[in-house]
Amino acid sequence: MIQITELQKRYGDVTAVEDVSFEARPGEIFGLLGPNGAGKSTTLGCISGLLKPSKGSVTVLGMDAQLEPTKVKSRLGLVPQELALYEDLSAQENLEFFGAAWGLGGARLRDRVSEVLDRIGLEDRRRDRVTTFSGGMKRRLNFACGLVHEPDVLLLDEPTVGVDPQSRVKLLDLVREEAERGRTVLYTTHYMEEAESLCDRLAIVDRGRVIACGTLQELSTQLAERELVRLGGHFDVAAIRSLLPQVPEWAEAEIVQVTTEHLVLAKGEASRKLPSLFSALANSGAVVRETVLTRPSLESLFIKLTGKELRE
Amino acid sequence: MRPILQAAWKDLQRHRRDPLSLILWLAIPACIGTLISLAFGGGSSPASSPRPQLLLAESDESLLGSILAGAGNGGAPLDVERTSIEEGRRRINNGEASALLILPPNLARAFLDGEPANLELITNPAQRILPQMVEESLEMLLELAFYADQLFGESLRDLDLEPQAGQWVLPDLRVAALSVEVNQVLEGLRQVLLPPRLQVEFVPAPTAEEDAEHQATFLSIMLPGFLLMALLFMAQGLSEDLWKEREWGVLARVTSAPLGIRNLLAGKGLASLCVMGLAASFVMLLATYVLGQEFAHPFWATLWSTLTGLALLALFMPLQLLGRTRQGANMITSCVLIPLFLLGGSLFPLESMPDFIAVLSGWTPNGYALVHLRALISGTSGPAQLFLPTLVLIALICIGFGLAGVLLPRFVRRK
Repeated sequence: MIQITELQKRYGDVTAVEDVSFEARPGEIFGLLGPNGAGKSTTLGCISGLLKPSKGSVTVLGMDAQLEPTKVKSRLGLVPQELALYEDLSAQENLEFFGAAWGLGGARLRDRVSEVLDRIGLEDRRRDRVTTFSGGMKRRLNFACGLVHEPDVLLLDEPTVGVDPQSRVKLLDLVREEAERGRTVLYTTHYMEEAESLCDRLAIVDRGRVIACGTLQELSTQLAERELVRLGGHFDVAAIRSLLPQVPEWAEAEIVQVTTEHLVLAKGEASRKLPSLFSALANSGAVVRETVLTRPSLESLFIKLTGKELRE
Repeated sequence: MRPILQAAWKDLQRHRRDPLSLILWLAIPACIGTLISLAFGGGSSPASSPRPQLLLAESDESLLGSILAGAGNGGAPLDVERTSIEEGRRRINNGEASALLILPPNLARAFLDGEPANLELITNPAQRILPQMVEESLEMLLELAFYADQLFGESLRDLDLEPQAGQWVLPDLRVAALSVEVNQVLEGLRQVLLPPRLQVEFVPAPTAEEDAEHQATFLSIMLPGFLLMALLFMAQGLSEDLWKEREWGVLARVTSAPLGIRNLLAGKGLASLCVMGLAASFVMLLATYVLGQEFAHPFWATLWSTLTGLALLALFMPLQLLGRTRQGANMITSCVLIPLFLLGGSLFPLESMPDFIAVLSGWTPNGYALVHLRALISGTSGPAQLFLPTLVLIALICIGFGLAGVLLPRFVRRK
């Protein structure tokens, strides 16, 4: 189990993480979803001991990461965002070194190395140097190095970035398997679909803060089953703001975003009420060139919460 | 200790996979050494200075010609070879000698009669110093001839110096009389020319074997320097490995492991010690069995070299960690490496340095180590005298690695 309480990390005047609190439980895949630079990796760095928090506490399996760093580290497995492999060593040598670095030795180390090589599908390439591997193979080995010592808590920092679809499926299966074995998995990503399909619970992070947290179901209810209507064209911002409350079917719609070129609205059963919206917009002088209707999803929630798309 | 051994084993595996770097670290000093050796005419045998070769040609075989020809064997700094005029011209045109001296006919008679005579000296234009040595040697011989004429001219003129049937035939009595006269004149002059103000001690000249034994060979002078030069390059190269590991992201991963970043550093030191020990042993064995160099304390010399290598690594480690980028770190270490390379006695022997530079050299870590290494090799000091210097090196190692241990976590976190 991981418990983060009011975590803060500052670099001089810059605050990378501010007042972050969440809890990840055993057997659960807990996702940290947010755009690049949101503070996900910094949070993971504070948990893994790479970074020292400026404020707040990190507890792993009941142990304070600040007070008992070695004990905590011995129970953690880290898969960093960037590859972290010895390119001049073979797959087996990498696994042996990182296994030994986490305290494994002798027959147990040999068994675990063989087991994870088999699981990631690199058994036949065990003696080959990492430099000869493809990007996907390196990613799988990078993943294996984080779990060779059978950690109780697995920290995965965007492990599928730049991975081919085949390796991606393989990696996500491995993550699910690890969770099924009772491990606590903390998974950071900026892929909505990945978070939706993989994570049991999620914290949405933006600009160093957790802006929403809960199961997928809980987060969806925050949207109140509302659909998202995204319109592209030309809009008079002031006119839109004054017009919408006067349109009977759209009086309770939420204006998520409005600029001269975009209008984003959140509304239940919006698809059925589009004609009245187009009619009102036409009367106000707006020009609509593009309409996108999105059913409730993490993406629409993220847009609702932050006013911007995840990949911006 | 186990984590350190694990980290060291990992680095040794990596070094085993990259033998080219190890070979290059040894090859560069070997190449520099070979070039210097060739440039200075060195080798494993004592260096010999070049001697000018003078070709002596004359149309008739005069006594003066014979005296000149004998000069080369009598201690004059030139080799004289008698030849015919045609052969001499051909050889000097081919650049096969430093100079050709052609003596005119009846030179001896002209000399004794005080008549002018022309000696033709043709020098080799492809050489500069050696022909000049020939000219100066001949000028000295002519002066000697002038004084001989002043002292013994009358007696010599009484001799019949013309050869008969190709040989000089002088009656024994006349030769004996002339010898007595020369001896008496020289005895009379001894008081004037050689006043008894100097006590002359006669020491038997060493045999060729003794001379070779006592004369320091080029190899014995330069080998310790080249070994330390190799270790200097190795230390810089091995210290750069931290950047490689940082770029691969493994340092960050190790930071989150119970192994710990400082154990990784200690393991790196241990692995480097092994590699440097191996390199030092290889050089010592090569010098002993291939080049025939003798060492008074080969084991201790190897151990000392290895420890020096680790001290140099400890010097470079914190410098690498100070750089903001890999290129910047390389610049910093190069700024230290080059002065150490030039001043540490590896490139230029300490004996050939000006006094103040030699003193400065003794304060560089490799210069300090070199003095002791040479003493160990030559046998002028033994392991017992190494106690204090070893403590100095160990202190350097502790300071260097201690600093690196402090700087490393920040180095890992830095973006």
